[in-house]
Amino acid sequence: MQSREPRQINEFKVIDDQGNEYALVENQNVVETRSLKWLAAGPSWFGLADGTPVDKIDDQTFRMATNDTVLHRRTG
Amino acid sequence: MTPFSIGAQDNSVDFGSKLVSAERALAAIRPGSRIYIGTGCAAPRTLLARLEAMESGPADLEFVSFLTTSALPQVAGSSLTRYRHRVFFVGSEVRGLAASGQLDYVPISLEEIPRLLTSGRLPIDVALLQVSPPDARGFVSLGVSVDLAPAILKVARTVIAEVNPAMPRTYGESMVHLNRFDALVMVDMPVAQYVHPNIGEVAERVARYIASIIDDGSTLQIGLGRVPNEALRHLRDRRDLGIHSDVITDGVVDLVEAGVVSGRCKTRHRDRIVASYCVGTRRLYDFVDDNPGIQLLPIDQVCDPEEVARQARMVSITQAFAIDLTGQVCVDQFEGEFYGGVSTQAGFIRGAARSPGGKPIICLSSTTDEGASRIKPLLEAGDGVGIARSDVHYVITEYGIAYVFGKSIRERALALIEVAHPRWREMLLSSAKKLGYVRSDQYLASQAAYPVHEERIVSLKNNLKIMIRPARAGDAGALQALFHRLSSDDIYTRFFRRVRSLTYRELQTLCNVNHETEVAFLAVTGPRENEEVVGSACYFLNPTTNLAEVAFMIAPEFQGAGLGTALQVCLQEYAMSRGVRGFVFEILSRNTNMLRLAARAQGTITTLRDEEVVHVTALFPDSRSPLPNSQDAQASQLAA
Repeated sequence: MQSREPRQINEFKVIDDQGNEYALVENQNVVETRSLKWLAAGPSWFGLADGTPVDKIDDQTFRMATNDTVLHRRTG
Repeated sequence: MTPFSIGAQDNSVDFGSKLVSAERALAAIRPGSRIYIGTGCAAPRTLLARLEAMESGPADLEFVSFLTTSALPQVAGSSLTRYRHRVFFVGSEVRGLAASGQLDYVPISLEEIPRLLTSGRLPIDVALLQVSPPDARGFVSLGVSVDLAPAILKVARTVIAEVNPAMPRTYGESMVHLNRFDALVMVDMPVAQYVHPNIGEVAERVARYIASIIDDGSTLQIGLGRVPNEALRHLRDRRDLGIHSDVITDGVVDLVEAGVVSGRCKTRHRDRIVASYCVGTRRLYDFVDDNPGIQLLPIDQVCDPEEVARQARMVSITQAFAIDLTGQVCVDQFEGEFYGGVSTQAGFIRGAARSPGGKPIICLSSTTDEGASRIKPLLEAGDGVGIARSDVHYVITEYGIAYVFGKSIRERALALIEVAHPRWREMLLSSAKKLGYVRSDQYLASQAAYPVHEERIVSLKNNLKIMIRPARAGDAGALQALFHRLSSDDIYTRFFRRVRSLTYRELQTLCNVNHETEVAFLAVTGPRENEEVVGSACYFLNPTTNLAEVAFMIAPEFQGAGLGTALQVCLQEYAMSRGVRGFVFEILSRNTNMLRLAARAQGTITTLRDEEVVHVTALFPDSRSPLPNSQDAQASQLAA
């Protein structure tokens, strides 16, 4: 096993109530196995591509930590 | 001397009137003549010896020959001749003449020589041949060497032959009527023989690799090289091979007698062995004597690339002196010295390449007798290119098989370094980086021979046969293609993350392995030269626990066909043979296919669930000792 490192493990689109679209990335401390699997090492955290932190409300809903803008996972 | 008479069908030629003494026959040769000498074991040794022995023989003769064997007078192990020799192949008998300026080497493909002759660009004054006695109709046989003789007989102004009862009568285009000869000289002596020297262990390993890629029903061209001839000895378990070769040797007789060569699958000259000349022992000569199953044809017919290409599954085997990392092959000049020749190699290689299912093979030992690498970053001054890099397909050494046709310079360099001697691989890789052939971050994990014995063919549930083989550094591109065939969910369950593409480093991790603590197998379909990777399995050993982490990728259309199981069996056998204690699988809990596969591993299975991931440990049957860490009890409890 290698040392744990924060890695982007997911990326998806979200929109706010005004219809603005953002790219939301999910990060997590992971341990990369020698076969290149990323094993989670703790909870994940979210943020926009510009680094703005985002809190997870549930799997479909998120909130920008800086201004409480609610973001919804875009479907389809 | 045995008297011969012409049969009733042809009494226009009086054989007896053409029989003369050697001295009288040779008296027809004028100073300054260019004289063709029959090939190999059919060289007119008596005539040549008398000519050389003449006290005041004709001056300024030039001999022209393709290949001589025991033809020139020998003094203290060296050939001694008063004349110049223009040769199309620098054999051991004439090689020493270069130092005295008596040797002129003509680099030319043999199949081009008849055109050279008939065009008048190489006039021949006299032909000296060795033939069989005439039949009742007045036809002698060219015996063991047809090759260039028909073309020579069209252009030579004077034709003189030794008539030797020991010369076999061969079929094909071997028959020549007595009226073509100006003088005949009776001799009665054994036809010269040639025995391939025993080859060492290295060459035998090369030969085994060559044999491993020759399929049933193939047609072979073998040449005179020791290694190709050794390869014949490893074909005893094949069926219905055919022979279409410039030369045949004793090894062919062995295969015929073993029932391996039938010619049944040949698409040209079915049921017949086709060659242009024979080099071997009396056993071979007895085999070809009066044997309609052997057709000896002119060299330009046998070696014409288009004719070669008409044979399906044509395998051409050429022994080379050296090859550079781009694939340029040195066959007739090595380290400044001319040796061997272009011969028929270029034509056979091109023909075999165009043959349906054909395999052009270049073989060489990885090092010289002095230990220098025959695989070089660049060919050096004094190394001649006889086969262009664009014509090279298979390259085989004692360290494995590289297939380079259609590959990039980077891919060729990697593939060739992998079959180089381990002692030279680091130097070759370093040179390849300096030359810009490979990436600066390229490495080679394995210094050992590619483990060809680990290749296996398996049948899947859909009855499709696939090959499972060890991965190589050069498989990165094919592995990437497999990756891109996977669904996004397959990728997620394999890597536990969204991945758009694998980096070069990641691809190398999965295929550029040391075959000891890092092991990777690929499942491939299609012929070796056009493989498609449909599955990947690898393990990485933790030396502390002696457990190996295992991972798989299976192409979508092969999922559920038993390929994962076949790969796992292969991995497990490999691991157990190396004393690995067991496998560790990290599996997403929703990946039921992989959970089922892990459960089929041999040995004691324990599982540990950790949120989304199931950690499965399989301890192999002969290593059921407790796990060496504190998780053991917990894992056992969860499994229970």
